Amino acid sequence: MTWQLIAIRYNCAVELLAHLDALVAVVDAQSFTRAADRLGIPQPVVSRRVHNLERVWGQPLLDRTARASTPTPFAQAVLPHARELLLRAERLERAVSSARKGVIRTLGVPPDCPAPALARLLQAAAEHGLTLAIRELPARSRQEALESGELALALTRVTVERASLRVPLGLAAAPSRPGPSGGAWHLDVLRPRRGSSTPSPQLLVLPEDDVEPFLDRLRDEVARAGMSPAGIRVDPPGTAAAQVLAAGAVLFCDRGTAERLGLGWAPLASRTLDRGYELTAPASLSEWMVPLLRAAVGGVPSDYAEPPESEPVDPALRFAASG
Amino acid sequence: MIDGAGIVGSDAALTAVAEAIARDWGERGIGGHFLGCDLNSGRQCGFGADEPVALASVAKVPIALTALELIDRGELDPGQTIEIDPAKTSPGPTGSALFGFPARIAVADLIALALTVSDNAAIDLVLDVVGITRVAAALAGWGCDGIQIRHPMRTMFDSATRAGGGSFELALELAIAGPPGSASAIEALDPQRGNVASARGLVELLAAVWESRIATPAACAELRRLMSLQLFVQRIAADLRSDAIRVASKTGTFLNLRHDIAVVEANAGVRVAIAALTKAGRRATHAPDVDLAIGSAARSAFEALRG
Repeated sequence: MTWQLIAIRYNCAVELLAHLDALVAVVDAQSFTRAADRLGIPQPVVSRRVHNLERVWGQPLLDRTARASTPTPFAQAVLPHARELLLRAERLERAVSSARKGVIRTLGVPPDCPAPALARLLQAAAEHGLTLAIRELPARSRQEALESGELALALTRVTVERASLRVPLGLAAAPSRPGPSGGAWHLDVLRPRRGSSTPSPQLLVLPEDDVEPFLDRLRDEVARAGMSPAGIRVDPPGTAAAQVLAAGAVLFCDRGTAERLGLGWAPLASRTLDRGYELTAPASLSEWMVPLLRAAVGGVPSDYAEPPESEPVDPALRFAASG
Repeated sequence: MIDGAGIVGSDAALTAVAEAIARDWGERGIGGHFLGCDLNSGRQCGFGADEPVALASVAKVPIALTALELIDRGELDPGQTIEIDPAKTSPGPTGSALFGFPARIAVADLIALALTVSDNAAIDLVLDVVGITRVAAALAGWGCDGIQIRHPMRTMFDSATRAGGGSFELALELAIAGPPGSASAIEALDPQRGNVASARGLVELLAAVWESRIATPAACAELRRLMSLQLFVQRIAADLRSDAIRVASKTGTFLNLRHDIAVVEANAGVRVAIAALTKAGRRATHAPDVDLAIGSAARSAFEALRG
């Protein structure tokens, strides 16, 4: 169906969005009154919009017999699409407003960058005649926002081998946990000792590291260290820090994050799990932006070297049944 | 998490033990099948015990028993020597599979190598002599319908090498990705084409051997003796073995499969048969915590079952 037809059917497309907004608000708030409060419009208007949708679609949307307004199976089937449409409209709105203002470019960076570093970035942008807006988003959201056009520029995650910017990853642990003896963490020391009843510590990662190529590599490294990768969990920094302090969990993070959270930190002995970044931006911007961004995320020059190969076992033997 | 529908337990306490093992394995990312059975009382606990699973080296047990029966019936000379040609032997990390120079070994000694150190070359040479149809016929004759022996050890190596195009990582990935019970890209892992049995089928085989109900009493006795000399003790025996508790077992390890079957014996005639068949969803060659999870499961089951 074309937008023209949709506009005729609902009078106009903007009306459709307002109607969907009302429906989603009622379902989320489980009440017409609370939905009206949230939307800042009178309750009868909310009721009418939901009723209009029911009339146009010819199906009841809310089960009004229950005390709370619960969505009917029909409503449950269409709700995800309604939410999707609203989200896209919101993005469109943001893109329209930033385009209207002119040359503002939004740059996506990882969450929790130190303010002074970001301030220096904004100053440098002004000196280069660029009006820059900065949005802090975890890696996966930055990627999505870049693809949808919400972000013009972004620091995107890439494997450490291809990265122009590398952030050493380490383990944050409770101050009570003894640090690694050689100054760097080897994952295998986290294995419970045989005969001990202490389980492996819960392994936590931050939303910034919740991207598949990284998690996949982490799972492999954990499995290679003789632990189950099934227990790796993504937690936001606050919850993660609480788990580390109170429940003996360990958190994979950079030094800066550990310091902000008040946790002990030491780097991993292997560099293969380091965060790798690439600035998605025109070359003219990259030149002055990359050094400033490196400072903002606590990065080091991308001097990643492949670890030396260990003595190869007979490769054919790996395929043979053993024991 | 392991499918709760497959939980079996002879009473509430045993069901709880089975559930606890299934939960522990699930939390470690281990898919699997488990059955423990007290041979004296018949009491059982386990889960997923009826699903056919690729056997890896556990398949050496019925092949060895077939050969031992032929020897005891006088149809196979235990002293008959077989030429070991390093250019042709099946690959493996132990025993005659490692030989770099030609040798001759007697059939009975090849069986001992196959069962005690899981020698792939040895069991394939025994299988060459016995013939796969004779193994199948013997299993049918013993009433072990659930155990299918269709190929030598070498087929595991060949099919994994072929499917992975020479890449071990890819072969492991294919083994992990294959949904249980479905046709696998790796022939030896395919329930329709590979060597397969269910945990129940294996426990029934062990029970029959320990009670000398199949083959011949002397063949059963020799199989029991050789299994009790097992060198790989990192799984079922890991947390059980002591001077008071004896474990006779056979492991199976291939790609992401880590199996062990055993009869655990203690004083006062206690005999508990256990089959633990696992499939891990991780890409690693060694998984000490999976081995220990099997050991821990075996200990829980043994202590609950022996009464």
